[in-house]
Order: sequence, then C-alpha cells, then structure tokens
Amino acid sequence: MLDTSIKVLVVDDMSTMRRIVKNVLRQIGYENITEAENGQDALNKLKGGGFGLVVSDWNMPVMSGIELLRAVRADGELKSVPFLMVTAEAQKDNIIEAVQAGVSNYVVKPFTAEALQDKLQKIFAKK
Amino acid sequence: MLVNRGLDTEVSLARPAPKPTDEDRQIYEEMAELTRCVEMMTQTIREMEAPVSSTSEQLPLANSHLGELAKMTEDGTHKVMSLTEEIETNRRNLLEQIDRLAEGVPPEQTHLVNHIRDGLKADETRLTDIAVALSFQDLVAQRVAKLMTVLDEIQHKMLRVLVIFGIQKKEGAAAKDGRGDEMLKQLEASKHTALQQEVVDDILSKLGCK
Repeated sequence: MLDTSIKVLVVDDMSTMRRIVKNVLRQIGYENITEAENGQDALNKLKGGGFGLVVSDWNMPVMSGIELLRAVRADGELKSVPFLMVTAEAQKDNIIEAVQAGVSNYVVKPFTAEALQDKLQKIFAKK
Repeated sequence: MLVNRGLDTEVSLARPAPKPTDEDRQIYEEMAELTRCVEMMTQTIREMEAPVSSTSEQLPLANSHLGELAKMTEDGTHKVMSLTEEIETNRRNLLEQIDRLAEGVPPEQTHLVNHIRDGLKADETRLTDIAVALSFQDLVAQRVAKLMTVLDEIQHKMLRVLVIFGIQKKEGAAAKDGRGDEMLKQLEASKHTALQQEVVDDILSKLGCK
C-alpha cells in the first residue's frame, strides 16, 4: 500500500504536464502536491524540507532533471528522497545515465496512470 | 577571347602573322569554355540570390508560427483539463448523492443504484485516461521547440550563403557544427531509437533497478 500522505514535488517546465501528473497522482490518492517549473526551483523547494517523493521531467531550462537528480543525491539531507523520472527522453543512454545518477525509477511519456502507479509501488516496495 | 590586337598589328607590319598552331587553338577553345562557365555561374548565383534572400526572410515568420502552434496546443490542453476536472468534481458529487440515496432505496431497486454507481466509477478511469492522453501536448511542444531551433539554424546558414557568394565564388559545404544540425539529428534518431516502456523496464532490470 502506498503512503499517500507524503508530500510530492512535481517538476516540469510545461504547465500542462504538471497539471496532468498532479491529476493522476490525485487519482492515486496523493493530495499534498507541490509544483516546480525547473530543477533549480525544485531544489530550492526541496531544501525547504518535508518532501517524500520527486516526480521530475528531464528536459527543462535553467536546471535539467538529471542535474536536479545529481544535486539531490549529492545533498546529505535529500539523498534518500525517492526520485521518479517522467520523460520523453527514452534513449538507452538516458536511462543508463539516470540509473548511474541514482534514479529510483523511470517512466516514458506518454504514460498511463497504471504505469505511474506501478512505478510508485515499486519505488516504495524497495524502501 | 583575350587577343592583343596592338601587338598583332605591329607584328603584321614587320612580317606576316604566324598561323595559330593546334596548341594555340586548343588554348583559345579552353579559354572560351571557361568564360562561358564563369558567365553561367554568375547567372546562376544571381538567380539564386532572390529566392534564398526571400526564404531567409520567411523563416523567422515560420518560426513564429510554430511558436504560436505550441502555445495553441498548450491553451487547448488546459481547456480540456479544466473541463475534465469539472466533470470529475461533478462525478464525485453524484457518487456521494447516490450513496445517500441508496440508504432509502427499497431492496428490489438496489441493482439500479449499483448500476449508476458502477457507471460513475468507470467514468473515473475514463477521465484519468483523457488527462493522461493530453500529455501528447508536451511531446508536441518539445518537438516544435527542436524544429524552431532547426529553422533558426537554417536561416543563419542561408544568410551566410548570401554573404559568402558576395565575397567569394566557391567554398566547401557549410560547417555542420550548429545546434540546428544536432536537433535535426535528435529528431531523426528519436524515430528509430526511442524505446518503449517494456524495453526501458528490461534495461532498468538489467541495471538492478526494478
């Protein structure tokens, strides 16, 4: 069972995608959702504390998803926060790069609600 | 044809002009051929200048239209999302009302209430599917952004061609080191190499990330 009381950070430069991911997360049961429009914005919010999950896009201006992931994993306070990459970057090299950077799981756009839920269950089953 | 008439006349006073040899005739023919080639190239460049110039002026407009296209799909997506959210709110309210109504319904009519409840629950999945299907907009916007970069790069190269033809006639192909070429390569590559979720899962699994 997923702990849907955790605080989730949705990171994407496209407002439509943030809204879509938020709606799907709400349908799964998450209510405490915060948005960030790029990696830097996300990092600032994460440093405020209290987040139990990051759902991030890869391609973003200012700071990309992979840069955010590396910054999160390099931060003593944030390194254990589960990080789900939701992206159109579906090349093998991207996946390897994300895994090496410490991604918790990877969802390819366009995705289904079931795929997102399945990935979240796998992330939290491992914890 | 380049002939020194003055020298020819002077020489003719002293002695009869020498008859051109086969070698001289060959040189004259080659020079004539070269002259025709230069004239043809000059004409071709002159004819090319107008369309190249015109196209390079149209490209920023095309770029702007692409930007608007991305904005339009974004606005449309938000509109559909808003309507979907309103339907979802309505659906939840109806479910609550049906649950309250069910308390006073006679047992022989319970199946009707259950039928309505099942229909409303099925709509929840459909509404989520609509919302998720709208993620196409993000993919469209990303591709449009790449195309805009490509067009920008093409315009830059066309302007360079115009300038180069004005200065020198011939140079190798334009260097392919700009971001436009890279974006074009990415767009082309993604047609053949983008992986499906199952393949991604397989790779993740092999990398120890299930």
